[in-house]
Amino acid sequence: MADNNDDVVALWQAQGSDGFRISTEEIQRRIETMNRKLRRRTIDGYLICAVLTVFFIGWMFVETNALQAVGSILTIIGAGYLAWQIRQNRFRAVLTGDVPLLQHLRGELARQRDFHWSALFWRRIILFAPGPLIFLAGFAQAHPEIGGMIRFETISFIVIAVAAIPLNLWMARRYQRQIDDLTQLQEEQ
Amino acid sequence: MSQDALYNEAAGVFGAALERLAGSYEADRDKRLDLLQDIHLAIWRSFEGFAGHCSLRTWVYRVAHNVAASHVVRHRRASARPLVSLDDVDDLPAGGDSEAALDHQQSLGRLREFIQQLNPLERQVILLYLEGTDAAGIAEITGISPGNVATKIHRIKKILAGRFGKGEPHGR
Repeated sequence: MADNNDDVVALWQAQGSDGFRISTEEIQRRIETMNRKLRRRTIDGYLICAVLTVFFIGWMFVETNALQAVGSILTIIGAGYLAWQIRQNRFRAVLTGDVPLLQHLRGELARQRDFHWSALFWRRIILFAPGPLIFLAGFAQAHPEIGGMIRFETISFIVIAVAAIPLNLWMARRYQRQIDDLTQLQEEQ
Repeated sequence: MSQDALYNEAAGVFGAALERLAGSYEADRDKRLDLLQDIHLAIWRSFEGFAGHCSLRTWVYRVAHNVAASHVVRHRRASARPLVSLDDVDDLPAGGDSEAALDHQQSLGRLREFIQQLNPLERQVILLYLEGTDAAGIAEITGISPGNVATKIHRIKKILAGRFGKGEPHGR
């Protein structure tokens, strides 16, 4: 077995190398490009929030009833929360060699799990779902002639929001199972 | 030693191993190069905080493997094939041809394919084993106890001998 494995190890290590190297100047340039992309993405996120805010504030001046006003305010609060989350996540953490793989992997999996099922998830649902729904209800009240279309939009929105709950729970459980496997491995130590 | 000097030394000593690492994660050339570039950038950035508490090898491998593990976790949703543990490997089809009859490239392709089926932690253990890292080194890099590493290496050796050993049957 040992000889055969030595062959496999030798085969693995004998793989041709493309001699991939990056000069330190090139690294600086690529990091700058990466930072620029991150900044661009952050700005795009802020722009979306700004457009939503301007639209719903504008709407309150153009045409509004009580339901539309409440829906608009809730959606603006949701956009504000989204902007705050974008601000919180605008930097990419620098990895260090102080963290062993097991610990790093647990952190990554926990982050993914929390994205799908944690207070953050419910905050997203609570802040984003009621606003547009109440707004649509107010819109239907103001425009009964297109009530059918608004009902369809409302039902579609509710179906998507409700479907997101079991789907995210399923994803979170998948990540939790992997975390449990790692925990078990640590406990065996 | 400066950040640049540390990076240059690391890229010189471990460059080929990092290429092999990226190759075991991504079959597609462009994606492989992207991952390799991410690994190099992460290593360069990490040296800002390198205080010499561990060897250069441990540091570089930890950063590189952590980047690769994040890559797997983030891109896993796009792939339908489930990742398995070493204990489940025997249940996977091993391929029908005699390995002895295949040339090096085919054997390497099969070996990469086999590694890509493993979950991130066991993938790292087998990669470090193939890079010639001893059990203590693997334990230090991965954070798994030496006892657990020894068990996994024993299992890896058995699987490799069964699947890739000359003249031996594949799989079970």
